[in-house]
Amino acid sequence: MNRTEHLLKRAAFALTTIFVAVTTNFFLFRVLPGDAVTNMARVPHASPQLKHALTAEFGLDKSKWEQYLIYLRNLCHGDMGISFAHRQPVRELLIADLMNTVPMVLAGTVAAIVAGVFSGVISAWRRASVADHLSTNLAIFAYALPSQWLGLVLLILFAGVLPSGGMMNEFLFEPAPFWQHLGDIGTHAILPVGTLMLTAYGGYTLVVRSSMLEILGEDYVLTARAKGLPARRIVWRHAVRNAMLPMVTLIALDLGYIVGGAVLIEVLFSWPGIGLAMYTAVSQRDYPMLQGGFLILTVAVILLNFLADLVYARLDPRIQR
Amino acid sequence: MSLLECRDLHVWFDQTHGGQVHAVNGASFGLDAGQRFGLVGESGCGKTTTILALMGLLPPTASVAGEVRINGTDILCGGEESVRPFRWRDIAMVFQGAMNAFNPMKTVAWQIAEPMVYHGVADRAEARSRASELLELVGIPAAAGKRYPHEFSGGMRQRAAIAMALACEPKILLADEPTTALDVMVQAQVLELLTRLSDELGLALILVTHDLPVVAQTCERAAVMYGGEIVEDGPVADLYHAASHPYTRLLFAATPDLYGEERITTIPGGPPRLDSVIAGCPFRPRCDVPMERCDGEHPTLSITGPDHRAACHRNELQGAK
Repeated sequence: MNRTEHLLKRAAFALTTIFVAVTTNFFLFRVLPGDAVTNMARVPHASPQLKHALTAEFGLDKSKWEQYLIYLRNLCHGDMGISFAHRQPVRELLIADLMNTVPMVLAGTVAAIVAGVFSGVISAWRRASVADHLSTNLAIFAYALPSQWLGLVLLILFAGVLPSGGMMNEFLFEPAPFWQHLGDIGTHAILPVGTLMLTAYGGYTLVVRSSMLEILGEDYVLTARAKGLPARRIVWRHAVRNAMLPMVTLIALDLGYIVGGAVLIEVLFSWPGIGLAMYTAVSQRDYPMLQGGFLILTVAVILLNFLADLVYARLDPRIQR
Repeated sequence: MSLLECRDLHVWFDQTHGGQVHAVNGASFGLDAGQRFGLVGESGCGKTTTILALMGLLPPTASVAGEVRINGTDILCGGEESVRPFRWRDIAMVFQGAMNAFNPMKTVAWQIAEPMVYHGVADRAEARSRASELLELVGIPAAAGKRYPHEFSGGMRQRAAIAMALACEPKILLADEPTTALDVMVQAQVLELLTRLSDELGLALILVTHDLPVVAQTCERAAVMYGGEIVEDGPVADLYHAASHPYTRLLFAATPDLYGEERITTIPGGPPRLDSVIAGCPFRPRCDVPMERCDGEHPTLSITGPDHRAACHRNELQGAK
């Protein structure tokens, strides 16, 4: 099988998966009892006429199949609908949320990867030493922590010292210099990013450690020692790159998942990202927002997996040709 | 003063459940430039352990005693730091199963050039051109160096491993079962190559193998190991025609011969366990000519001819006569 054929196959598979996910999401949310109108019509003096008007406006009076076809047609035009709750286009709303989520999640994940690779490599290289026991047990402990619990504990410990919610100080007005805004966002990000990093780093440590132990037993590592190379070079030049191969898949899966999995952390720290938006959308039965949010998550997971495949092929010469 | 001198080498391995295995018991031998020396014996008798110990490459579970001198300098006395400068510059190795001796993520030429650059033998450009020369020397087109190990056939990889071992122009080459995994044609090529290299470059060669004809074809001198000890050493012709130890005699008798008997003889039993002290002669249970003395008294190496030693009580008997 040649390379283009392989790529086409993967792309076709990805598109099919996205279609299936879109369909499932559409029907899944409509199975929930109640709809956006029941929620909105709870205002005092809501008349049956208002209810009818709202239902018609949202297109909820049409049959499920009709609604589905309209949704699909609009989606093909890049139109994700109008949010029931915000009365604004879903696309713009979600893009703004995504802009807040991605840097936070990325910072947390990158920090977790760096910490995980370091502690995993040291653990494997100094196997059975105090450093190994320390780092392995710490990793298992961190791995076992639920992120919402750890977030709460950090919140209790650092409330007052660090901002406990939101992404920026609302009272910091525009004339403030750029770096002051950046620093403000940075301090707001410490707790959510820290929570994300701490819960993710343990898993990376364990994977890197076991992968490294396997690689360190390989013949070519013995060859590298026989060549008279110092330990540091053997570990970083010969072993780590080979040990990182299984990490690529893991990181891609995690990144895709974390965009959605950050729901708990975003809710906890009121981080105005896509997770918080989806959380609110569920309680408001805001179908277009939910569908849009889930679509973005699906696409993120599939795209990152696709990307992982490409990176893998670049890293491992055995796959390339 | 010999080029390589190994004096009273002992290796113990710690076992997981306590206790130690005495894997090499007082091995001594010397080697001059251009000499080819065979180390033979059954599996598990300490051949590979002996030569790994020469380069200080045993795992941390091993304790080593004895001296290994290169041109009179004891290389093992200072641990890892004292051996490292000697590795690959003075003493290099072709590994058992050299199939996996290459890092799958780097090109073959890169891996040949690496120790040259690292030991400061050549700069990057020189190392690259020398890697090409070395590949040509072992009969591989220089252009193939840009390829990855998995693109090489078994025989090519074995020859490339030899080229890699020659990178820093070592004085001593250790070859651990260099031909075991190869078919007979390639095996002959590799042996021819090793012989030619030692003749042309004045390379001292230690050939570890269980394949006696290979030793007979390649080496001038050989040592026979049994149960972690050298039980006989001397010129190959003497070992073959006038063995002074029953094990050597039986070992040669067990080699299939094109013109000899049709039935292949074997030595019944297996090599001794090395986790407890052996009181008498380690070969006693399998010997075809045992004596009373062999039960309680451990034989030591004694001279049985010019440049010929063996550890068997029968020789002392004959000497006394």
